[in-house]
Amino acid sequence: MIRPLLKLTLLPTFLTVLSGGLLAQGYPSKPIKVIVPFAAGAISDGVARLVTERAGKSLGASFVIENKAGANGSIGAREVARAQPDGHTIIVSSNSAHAANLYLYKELNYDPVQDFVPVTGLTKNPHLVVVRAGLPVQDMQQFIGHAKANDGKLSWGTGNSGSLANASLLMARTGINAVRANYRSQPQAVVDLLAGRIDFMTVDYFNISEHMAAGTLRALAVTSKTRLQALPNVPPVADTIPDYEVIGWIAVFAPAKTPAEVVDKLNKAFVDVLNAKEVVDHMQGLGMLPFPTTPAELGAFQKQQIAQWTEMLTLAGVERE
Amino acid sequence: MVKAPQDFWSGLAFLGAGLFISISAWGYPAGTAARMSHGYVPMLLGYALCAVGAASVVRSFLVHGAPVSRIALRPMLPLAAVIAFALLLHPAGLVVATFALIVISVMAADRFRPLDILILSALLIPFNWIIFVRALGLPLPLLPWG
Amino acid sequence: MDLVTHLAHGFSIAVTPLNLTYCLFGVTLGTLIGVLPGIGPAATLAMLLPMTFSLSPVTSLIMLAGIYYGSQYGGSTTAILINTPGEASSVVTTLDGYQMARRGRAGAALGVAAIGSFAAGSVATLVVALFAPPLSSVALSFGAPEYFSLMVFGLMGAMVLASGSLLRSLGMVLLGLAVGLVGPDINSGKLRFTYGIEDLFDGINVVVVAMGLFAFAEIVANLEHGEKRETFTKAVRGLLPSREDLKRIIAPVLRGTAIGSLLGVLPGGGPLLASFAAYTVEKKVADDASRFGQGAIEGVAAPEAANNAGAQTSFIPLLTLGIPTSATMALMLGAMTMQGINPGPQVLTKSPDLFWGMIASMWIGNAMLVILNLPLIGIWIRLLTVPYRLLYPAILVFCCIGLTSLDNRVFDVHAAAVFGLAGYLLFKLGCEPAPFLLGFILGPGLEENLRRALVLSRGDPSVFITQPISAALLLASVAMLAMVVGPAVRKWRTEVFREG
Repeated sequence: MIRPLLKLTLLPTFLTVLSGGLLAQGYPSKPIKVIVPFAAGAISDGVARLVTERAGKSLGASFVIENKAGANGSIGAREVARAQPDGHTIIVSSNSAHAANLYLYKELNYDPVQDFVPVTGLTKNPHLVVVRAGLPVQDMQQFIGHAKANDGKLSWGTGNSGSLANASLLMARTGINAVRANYRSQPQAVVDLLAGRIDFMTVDYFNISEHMAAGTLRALAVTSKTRLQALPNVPPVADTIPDYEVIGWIAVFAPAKTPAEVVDKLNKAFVDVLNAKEVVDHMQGLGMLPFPTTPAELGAFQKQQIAQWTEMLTLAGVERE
Repeated sequence: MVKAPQDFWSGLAFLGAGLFISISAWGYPAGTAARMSHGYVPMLLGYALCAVGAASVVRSFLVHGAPVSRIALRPMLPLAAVIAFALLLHPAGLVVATFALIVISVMAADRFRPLDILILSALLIPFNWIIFVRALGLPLPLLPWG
Repeated sequence: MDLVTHLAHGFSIAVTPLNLTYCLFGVTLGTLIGVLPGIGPAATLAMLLPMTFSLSPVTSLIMLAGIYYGSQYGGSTTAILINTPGEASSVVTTLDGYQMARRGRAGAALGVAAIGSFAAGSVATLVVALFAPPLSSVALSFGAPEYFSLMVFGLMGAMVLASGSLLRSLGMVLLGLAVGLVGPDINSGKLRFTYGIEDLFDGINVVVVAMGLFAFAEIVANLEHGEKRETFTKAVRGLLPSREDLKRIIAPVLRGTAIGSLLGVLPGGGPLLASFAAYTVEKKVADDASRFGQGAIEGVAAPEAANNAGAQTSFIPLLTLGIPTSATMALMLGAMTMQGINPGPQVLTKSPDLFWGMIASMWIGNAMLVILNLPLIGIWIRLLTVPYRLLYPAILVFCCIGLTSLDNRVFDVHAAAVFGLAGYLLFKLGCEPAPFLLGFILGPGLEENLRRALVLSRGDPSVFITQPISAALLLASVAMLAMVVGPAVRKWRTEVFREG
């Protein structure tokens, strides 16, 4: 009695493992579709193209990028969640589609954890805490003191949900109250910061790199735990507020049932690219930190991020749709 | 009684739109003038439209103005054709949808010439395919079965 | 002089065979994109972005920029021929351009548009070369109150330039403002006026409104008048503008260039506002304002000059401040960043090749466009001799495909049909579409800046009058309104008393 039962279960299991292995042998057998849930020309889109082009060479495959922006990345994520888990469809996602959206949308039509298997991180994108040139503060301590002494009198701007969440958490942790101005995009907010119409904001490096160099804006701290290569004199916020780290990130995910061997192949290809010096330099030039991980590390990171983004967005008063 | 039909009817249209907008706007929090919420400006717009509409209606009784010419139905066929195109595109494909668009819109002309349909279809359907599906790569289904 | 050496250097870069080829490719593609209703430069740039990674930064930018202002040229063509603005900034060109076409003067209109654009582009290129740094500080001096007042000024202009009743134009502007608010509110993210329709969650695309209100409504109106409206096929008087035409457009082109160069620098202002402002100014300085809206050649030349000048100078905030003035510019910024170029205050010193090469290539591109477009006029005229009964179904087909390509869905087609119906009915009631479109485009920005100005001033409304630029603009708006309302009210009063 046991033998037939064993046969019934063992055979399918054996075949699945075998086909997984076979699949990995023949993988990739056709161009790999990479869904990028941002608009073409966006920074993350550029990184996706850079990395996949090189990874393609080492894997002996071609990666074909498809931009599917919309609903904060949900549209692209949903498509990949429902795609064939044979490794020929993957997604370069971000903290939006794979973390924050769980909070932002009451009825998300995909599960960022269960519907996907993590492959590897690509970049960590910290923000800089930037003040207008005329503000009489030179570092984070002075800034916090000045802001609290002028409770409610300072103003700040935000052009996207990432900087909104970041600044909100920062202000909650430091007890700062300031008036918030909303903008359609970060560059728009930067204009008002340059002109001195707002006092501070959190913003990505590439939006202000030239202004840093020209001295028209001043960066007080960076929101990652490690300093940026491009700004070695800017300390982490963690120096003033212990354990503080708020970063955007982009990472590669594949549909949930993608075989482990395929995931490993992809992981290795991408991690190799992330360790290449010119890639590192290019990313650092944009104010990004390379973020190679194992699949397991990415999974753990994602879970922590979901919790953090939920907290930040609640603090920021962002309503769930 | 009504001396300016255009003023009268456009006034009513604006009044109606203004009411619709105001009522929708009441469903959103208004905030205060200093700290506006997202219902404030829509509300103002609604009220302003009502005012404009009312003024136009009043004026239509006082001053002579242009009349409204009859609304013909056949010239509106192109709109129906466009909607037919939209409804047919995904279920039936580009070829069928374009053909339907051509047929229905041609019927709007003064004299119905079946030859027109042939000429237009022969030219436009392949042209569409080349420019929009091949060259620009738009994902449109061509035929009902694929 | 420094400028001459810089320009010479720039030209030496722009005139390489590679860069010339890509410039030509860009402007040709751009013209095609501009002419095809619905397909815009943003989508095209997005598609071609990957191609730019294999090219040098200068070459990619030359190509992308070519597509951008090429599409401005192409957009004027559809505005004149079929009353559909191919680009939002060509809306104003439909007012007199299309009327000229209906009177058999399409050739002159197209010619004037091309020549005016080229002249404006040349001057604007010089402006960019000479005044980039001071102009970028102009971009910085515009905050929320200034933008609000600028938009109010623009809307006043829209009301004033409409040839019909002022009250009805006001109504259309207000209606346009309201419809422009459909979708998410920028400040809170909350949805408005969507009534649960998912396709409205991102707002209504301006192309949908433009096509419905202008192209579709016009077709219905044309059919209503039957064969009588086929003025296209008769009396095509001359392919190109006459000597007299050219003399008449000199001043308008100069005025338009000045206005466009200034307004193009403002992020979010740009070519559209410039063309409206230029048209309004022309109507005001004209000896016979009633010609406008009936095919006045100045009404084509000035806005075209303005929007082309604006398109050129909108590169200034992009290159010197790294601030994109529109979605298309944002894409170009993305392309630059990926190439490792960070535009900013030091781009003139750190990447002179890029800056001056681009400027030289802008001029070359404009020249190419004129050379490309003038012969094309002959082809367009021939196209217009096609009987209208064959023309309008073709127009419908192109528009529909263009609409579905916007967001890959058919909802936009349905929506355009709705706007077409509304446009036709409103036209029957003597209401014009242009004020509506301007209200629609400016609505969200108007509200956004109003609210932001009040937030930053802590609720103090006097900020609109205490800031000098804002005050000046508001004053100008009131003055413009008074100039039109005054005579109108007087006329109204005499009529009322006459009717007793």
